[in-house]
Amino acid sequence: MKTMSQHQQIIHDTLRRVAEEEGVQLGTISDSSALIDNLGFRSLHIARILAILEIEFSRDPFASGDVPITGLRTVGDLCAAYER
Amino acid sequence: MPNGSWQVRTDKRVVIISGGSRGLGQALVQDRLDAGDIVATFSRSSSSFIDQLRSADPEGARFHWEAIDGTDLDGVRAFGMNVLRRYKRVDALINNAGVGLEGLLTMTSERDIHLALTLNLESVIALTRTCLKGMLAGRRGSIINISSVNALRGHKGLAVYSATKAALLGLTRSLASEVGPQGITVNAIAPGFFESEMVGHLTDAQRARIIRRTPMRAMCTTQDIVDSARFLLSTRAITGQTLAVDGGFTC
Repeated sequence: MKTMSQHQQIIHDTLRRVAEEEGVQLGTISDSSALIDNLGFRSLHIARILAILEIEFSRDPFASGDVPITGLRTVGDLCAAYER
Repeated sequence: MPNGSWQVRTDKRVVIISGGSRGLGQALVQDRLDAGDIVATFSRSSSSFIDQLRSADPEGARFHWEAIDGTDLDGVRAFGMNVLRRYKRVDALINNAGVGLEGLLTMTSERDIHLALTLNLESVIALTRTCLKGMLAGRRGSIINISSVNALRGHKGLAVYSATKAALLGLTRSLASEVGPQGITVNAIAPGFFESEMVGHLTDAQRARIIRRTPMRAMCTTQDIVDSARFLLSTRAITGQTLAVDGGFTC
């Protein structure tokens, strides 16, 4: 089984924490899980997740527009943005 | 749970106030410090007020100041993140910094128009966007935008200034709708003419005319604006609203 990087671990932990606080019932999280369609997050939840990750990682990969926020659909997309 | 550098490390409320070196900004900073909050502010240059606070608190335990020109949007964003990293939370933001611009539109330079739009609007949006990251993370917050009665009524010679201050009211209403579900309130204060250095240039006749047109027959004071901000920070029940603090000038 592939081990998660520290980045992935933090992102998965953040998703679980926000889901718990927002009352979102999360199933299994995988790279292919769609944040909205599969996991049940709403757009403001995702804004909150990105805010927490920006503070955690001290950078916002979407700020410049080089990494398009519109391409952010799955957990894998989210991890890839911060692994760049 | 993530490693937690975003976690709260102080139980004091952290309030960011733009343009806190003098005038209304200075009064807002002092009020929040008196209330026991941690206050962070920036201004283009220091003042005796800022110097006193910094020398009394060299470690920045309760007060943080940076020299930033509000038109430096990267600097404004970096300031917000610096505060967030330093105190691990942002509870309130008062967008106070702004520049007055007076003159007939056709006689106003493009450069001055650009300056007013950048400082009074774009800089406010940049700082708000940054501070919201901390508020969203903490699921709480209060934002107050200092607008103007010029956003509510037309006055000759103030077209650009009015446009920037009216834009803040649109920002206030839409953002309130957007972030309310995360426990964040967004309101605006629209001061009328109030006793400050900004009205120091008025002639006695102009002052008398303003007072004659004001139902309460007096100019407001800086303290009136500070009291209104304190009220808006105290409640969770009001959001998306504009509070005109003008002695009835716009009623």
